[in-house]
Amino acid sequence: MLSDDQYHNRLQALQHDLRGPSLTLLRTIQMLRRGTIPPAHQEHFLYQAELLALKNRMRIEALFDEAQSHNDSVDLERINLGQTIEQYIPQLHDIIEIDALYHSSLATTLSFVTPPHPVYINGSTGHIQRILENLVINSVTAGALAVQITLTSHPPQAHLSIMDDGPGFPDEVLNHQRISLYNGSGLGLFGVRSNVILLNGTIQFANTDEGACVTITIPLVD
Amino acid sequence: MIIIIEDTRFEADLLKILLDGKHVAGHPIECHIVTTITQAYTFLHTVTPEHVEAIIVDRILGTDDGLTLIHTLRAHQVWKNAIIIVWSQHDDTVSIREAFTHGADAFISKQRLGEKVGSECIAIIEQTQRCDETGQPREQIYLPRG
Repeated sequence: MLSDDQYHNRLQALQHDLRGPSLTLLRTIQMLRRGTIPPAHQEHFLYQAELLALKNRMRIEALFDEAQSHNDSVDLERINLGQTIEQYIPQLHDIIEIDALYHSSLATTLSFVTPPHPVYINGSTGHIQRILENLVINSVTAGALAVQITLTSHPPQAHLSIMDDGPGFPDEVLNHQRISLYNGSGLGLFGVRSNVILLNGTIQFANTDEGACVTITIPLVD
Repeated sequence: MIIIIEDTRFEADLLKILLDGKHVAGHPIECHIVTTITQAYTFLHTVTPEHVEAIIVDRILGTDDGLTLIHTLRAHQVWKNAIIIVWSQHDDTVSIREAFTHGADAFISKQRLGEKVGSECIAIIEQTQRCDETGQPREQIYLPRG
């Protein structure tokens, strides 16, 4: 249960993470429609509007997952984790490309390493996708130029690591191994944690010499 | 020049679009965007106050608090009289009061973001400049959500 202070901070974080981007999106559409944004800049703002809409959807999904993680009604099924990730990589590339177009920068490179044999867990495609989406977006937003997703299997656990070459996590995430809900930051990572809990897994945040590293451990099934 | 300190690039770009091309006291406005307080300090070392009409700072910059920048500038020999506008999603009474206590000249709710915000920023700058020129105390200007 959250204390009153935690609840207040939670609401503050939510309003910051959802209200602001929603308004920005609305105003941008209005300014595009009315021609306030000069034609030379319109494509630039359309890219960012798409990215913002995508991030907002992710935040709302995170809230949904959080609500689900507080009840037992989640249906998990046996899925091939490697295959699930593999199939989602093209969509992650699309997200990265939109971000690169907006920032007129090189797109972050994304690689996926998976063992040759299938790795089965109890989960759902949606939860895996949202974990990856949030973590990859986090890395890209932090300025990482390379993100590597690695899946390994060490019975009775599957280990999924997402490593980047960005600036790493702030101390508050590393010291407490929990997600700050203050200052409007952290809803994405909070959603990741909710999804991992739904999969009966655990999550660790660390910094390496290269950048940030998230390790998720999920029980294997036959 | 107006310095925009905003960690959400999209919002900074929108504000820049709304300000670019406008004039303060006959001078065309050029905006410079930085995304962190550290970047702001670095940039401020490269310019002089005479070339900066105002600093617009987001209250929450990732894990940084924009108010620390205001506090630092108000205590700084060179930048103590800069016109500083806080631009924030957190527009509750406590946040507004804190901004003014730390030395902000104006507080604009981000909920006000729209076509008029550029002109409103210019009006705040010109009004504050007039106060400085006539030796009157600056007014604390609050523009609530639209």
